[in-house]
Amino acid sequence: MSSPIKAWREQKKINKNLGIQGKIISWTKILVPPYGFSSDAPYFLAIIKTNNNTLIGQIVDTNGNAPKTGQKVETVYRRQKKPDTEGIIYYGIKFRIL
Amino acid sequence: MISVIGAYTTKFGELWNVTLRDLINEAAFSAISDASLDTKEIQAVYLGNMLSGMLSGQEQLGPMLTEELGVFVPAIRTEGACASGGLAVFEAVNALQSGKFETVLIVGAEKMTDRPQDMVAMALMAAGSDAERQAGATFPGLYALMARSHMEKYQTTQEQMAAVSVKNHFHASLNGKAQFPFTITIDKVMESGAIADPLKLLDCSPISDGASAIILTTKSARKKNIQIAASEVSTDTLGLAQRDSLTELLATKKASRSAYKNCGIAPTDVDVAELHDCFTIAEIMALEDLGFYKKGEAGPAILRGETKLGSKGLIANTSGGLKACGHPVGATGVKQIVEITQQLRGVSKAKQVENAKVGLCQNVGGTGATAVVTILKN
Repeated sequence: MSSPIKAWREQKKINKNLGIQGKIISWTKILVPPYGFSSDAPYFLAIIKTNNNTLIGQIVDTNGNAPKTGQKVETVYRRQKKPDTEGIIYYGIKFRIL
Repeated sequence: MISVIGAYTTKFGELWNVTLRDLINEAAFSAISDASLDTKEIQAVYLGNMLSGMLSGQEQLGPMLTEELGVFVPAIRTEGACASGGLAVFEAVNALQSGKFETVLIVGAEKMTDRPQDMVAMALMAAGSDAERQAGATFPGLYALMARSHMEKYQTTQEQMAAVSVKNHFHASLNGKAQFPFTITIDKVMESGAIADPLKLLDCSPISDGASAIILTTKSARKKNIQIAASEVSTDTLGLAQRDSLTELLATKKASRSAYKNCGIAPTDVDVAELHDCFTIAEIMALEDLGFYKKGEAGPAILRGETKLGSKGLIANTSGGLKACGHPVGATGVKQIVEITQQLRGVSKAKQVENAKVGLCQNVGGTGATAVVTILKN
């Protein structure tokens, strides 16, 4: 569930995940999205292994081309899902293929 | 010794003319009737449910059930996503083993079809992690990540996954309570629309309404003596990304190893199993994680026709599984016990597994953050 306070709290965590590189462990193409993500669909979702962590996130800037397991990616700062009724715009981390 | 003396499941499906309360009422009273009990003999009730707050605006389901029964005994609601029903069974078994109660009612229930699909998908993602929700993940998407890993590591194919769906639809065609009581073909699965690549619509269990109930007792059984031989739970990381492996559910492995050990039963002793096939890849992983097949061997075996009624060895998901019987998430773990109980009683008619003596249920929450394994014997 959305909350302005939660969005404010989450913003503080984004910095530590910027400028990180990793590689794709597995990926999928989401064609039937959950509520709030219909304007993004279809989109690629992947599990990314970094040096010291494993993350989940969308792969962006692909021009519709499917990613491949093992490809290198880096984190980018992007808008997430559509703004809710309170007008909060959510930002977070997505991944771009290197 | 804990015996199953009553077992019942409602029809599963899009049941627009009934409420969550109606479903709970039908399952509870029918299981009590099956056990030839008076409601006053029920000493406690356990109710598995995940989504009543989000989809029906109703929490505190325990007193809803005792109000329906007219017997105001202790009532405990359990939540573990799609393993909520299995957790209710586990809690009830523990209470009976402690000696606190002698006869208890367990109900699993879910009402899902009152809401649009994207709202239900969002509600189900409450079973995932914050990071998964922020990324726009869905459960088909998370299982698709596991499916791709399994395909790349073990050369599992989309046809093998489709064969799970075809088998379970065949079993459902023999089950009047199933949501989809009809057969399909591998071609039909392969031609169905992509939901989260490589998973297609007919690889996925549906959104369903339904309820199931059982009566457990430590008193001498009045009916044919079906025993709970073991009930074990294990947990894993909430988020899929934090797992060491995407091609197995560690919680299933750990819960099953404990269950086998506790009752001295081996995978080769199991005649019939209800497995958590929320997606076709999940049944393939379950058959491997539970020790029925080595890793990478379950997919080819199912494509060869193994685990289907009439084949030799283990038979899996005679109810039709989550895929074809339906998946009202809180009900599923209890429905599995109902199905196995009926198999061990020998009353499953067209879908009866011949001479079934030992059965196993595997109920999973989320992407494997919770796993419940229950073994029953005749």
